[in-house]
Amino acid sequence: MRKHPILTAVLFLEILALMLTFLQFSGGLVSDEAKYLLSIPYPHPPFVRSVLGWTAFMPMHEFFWRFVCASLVLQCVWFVWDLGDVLTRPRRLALAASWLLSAAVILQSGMIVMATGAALSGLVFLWWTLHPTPPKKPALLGCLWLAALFTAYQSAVFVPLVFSALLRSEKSKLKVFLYLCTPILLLCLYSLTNPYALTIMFHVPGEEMVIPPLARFFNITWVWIVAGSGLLSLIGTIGILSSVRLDLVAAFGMLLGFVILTTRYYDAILFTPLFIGGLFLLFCKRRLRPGIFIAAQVVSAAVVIFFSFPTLQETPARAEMRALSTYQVSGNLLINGFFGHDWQYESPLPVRKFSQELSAAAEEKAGVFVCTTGSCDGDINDELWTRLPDTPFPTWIRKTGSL
Amino acid sequence: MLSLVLPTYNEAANISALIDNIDGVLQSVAHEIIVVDDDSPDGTWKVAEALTRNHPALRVLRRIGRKGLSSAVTDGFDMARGDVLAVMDADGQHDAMLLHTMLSSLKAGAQLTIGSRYVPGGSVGAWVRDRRIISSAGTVIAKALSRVRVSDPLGGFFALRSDLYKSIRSSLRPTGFKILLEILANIPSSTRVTEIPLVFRMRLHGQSKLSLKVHFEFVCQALRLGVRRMVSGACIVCGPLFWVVTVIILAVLIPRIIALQLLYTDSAVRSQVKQALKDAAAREGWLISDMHILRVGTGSLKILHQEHMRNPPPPETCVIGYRPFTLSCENTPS
Repeated sequence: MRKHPILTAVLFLEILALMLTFLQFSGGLVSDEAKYLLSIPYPHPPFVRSVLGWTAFMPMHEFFWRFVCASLVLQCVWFVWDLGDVLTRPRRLALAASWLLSAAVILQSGMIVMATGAALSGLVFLWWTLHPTPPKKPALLGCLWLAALFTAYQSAVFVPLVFSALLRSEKSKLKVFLYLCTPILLLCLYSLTNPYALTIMFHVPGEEMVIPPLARFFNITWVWIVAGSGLLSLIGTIGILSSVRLDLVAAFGMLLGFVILTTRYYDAILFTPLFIGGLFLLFCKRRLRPGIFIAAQVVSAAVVIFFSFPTLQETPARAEMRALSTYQVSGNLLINGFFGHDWQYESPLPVRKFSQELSAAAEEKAGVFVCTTGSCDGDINDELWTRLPDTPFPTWIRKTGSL
Repeated sequence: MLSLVLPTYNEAANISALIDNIDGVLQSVAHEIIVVDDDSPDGTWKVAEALTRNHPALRVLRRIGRKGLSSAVTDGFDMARGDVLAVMDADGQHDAMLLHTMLSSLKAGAQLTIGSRYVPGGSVGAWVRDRRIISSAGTVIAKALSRVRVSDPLGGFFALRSDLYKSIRSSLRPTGFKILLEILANIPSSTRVTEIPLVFRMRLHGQSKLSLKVHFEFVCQALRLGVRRMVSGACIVCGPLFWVVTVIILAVLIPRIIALQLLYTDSAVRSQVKQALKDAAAREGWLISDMHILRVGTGSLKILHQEHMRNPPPPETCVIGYRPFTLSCENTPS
């Protein structure tokens, strides 16, 4: 073990990734994860979600991608480690550990969401921007920027870092402009080809969906805390703001603006690379004692993780499909009421949404009827349907011979 | 001035004779000798420090809590004051007389000069067959990773100009035992390198440091340098790749934007499309996300209805008329 510290660390991270995969896998998919696994075309561009969709036929598809995501997030600590090359060993260790002890990294690394991909690209851009010896590969940076933007719209918040990294790697201003702006232009063009993405982005929620300002403030604060387990969030923010580095401050400002608009809890991980940057800059100024910092970070991570630990309960869609799997079913799965994309992922049958305007032909193709709303008795003809016992939601299957 | 670095570990029995020998050989040359010792249990650093009384050109760096031949060499180079830096083994296997030849070579214009066991006149001496085979295999790998063609990239006896060293210092990752390979993998390919014959001698006292750990560290170093070379190689194609991908994306997107242009230019069509999609979804039970808009016209729109599920049936292409609402579909060949 002592002889091969890198190999040992890699193996340790893989074991940790496996554990975090099981943590997320045990509960089942949330709607957004299913959306990416099935490559549903909104809101994000197609680069990574297409790969996820093409592999949907694989057994253990969900588990496989959860593990890949968790491994990537954890192994990205090597970028942090390399960034700390100029620091003393205790500070370098503290910097790397602060990535692994971020509640967002621990709680989201096994999740299949595009925010994670955007965060990893943000970490690479940060590494490129702050590393004492920047790789002189502007074209590679351009390719990564293109890939990041075509993976997740959120990656756009890191544009100040990309600009800064390009300026360090390339002397020609024209090339900097082209490598920076061409991917943005392509993304804008892509958005025009995907009206659903635009609709989602510019969707103004109805009154019932508007979050009260105080609740929004608490949500954003919690996202900020989870991003760095509280302590890294605080120290990282101080580091960013005191750094007087326009690239880092601008990226932080853009991300804050984005999170204020969205207030999604899984966007927390987008902050983590920036906090790492802030901490790195403070360590460079020798303003922090790494031992005390890391001890406090362990404690704060434990507290934050305790309060935001994911529910290990099976999702309703998975529980319903498990109950249904004991019956011979065919046709379409007709759902009356609200449901997420996880139903599409879990269901072996094509999913249809019930409405009063449903045509008779479409209704005839349904083999299973699930009611996720209060009561559906008025929508069911008992001569054609049999109610199933012991299903999480009221469920009917078509009587034999009536399909 | 020549700064000669001697990385040591448990060389207490050899160090005194070696320093005497080197000081004698280099008396006509301005020089300093830097012994970098990894806190040897046999007290090599203590012996070396005692020698400084009679050898004013000798400096000793005792490293506590830090180990490794490569990092010892770079630590020595970092504290060196000379404009020429050299390194040789401290076990007596290298002939210090060669330092003169190396200095001449550097004066003649070379930037790096290597004592090579594999050029005519050089030899690995009395190595056993197994060690020869392993060394040959390692040399083949190391040659592939070097940016300059040399016959012995794994040697431990070489000299280089300090300005060359400073220019690559930040790129060096001094892990393992093969610092020359690290240097050769980082110098510009235009660097002027010469090789002079080196006959490898038997060590004077003590045990060889060659072990499984050394081999493992070499494999790790080779892998790291190999990956970096692949990335660098990939970077050569990154520029063209970026533009090829850009052109492909444009070629895919522009026809689609043209097919959908009415959505953005005609608000009446936009509201009709919205209503048509809602109607189709309500009547067929389709999910909006399963309806992929292919073309928007003034009287109808064409969509691809594709189930999003793990084993989807073949998609169907449908045409939806706005007023009156009509829907006709046909299976799309996969």
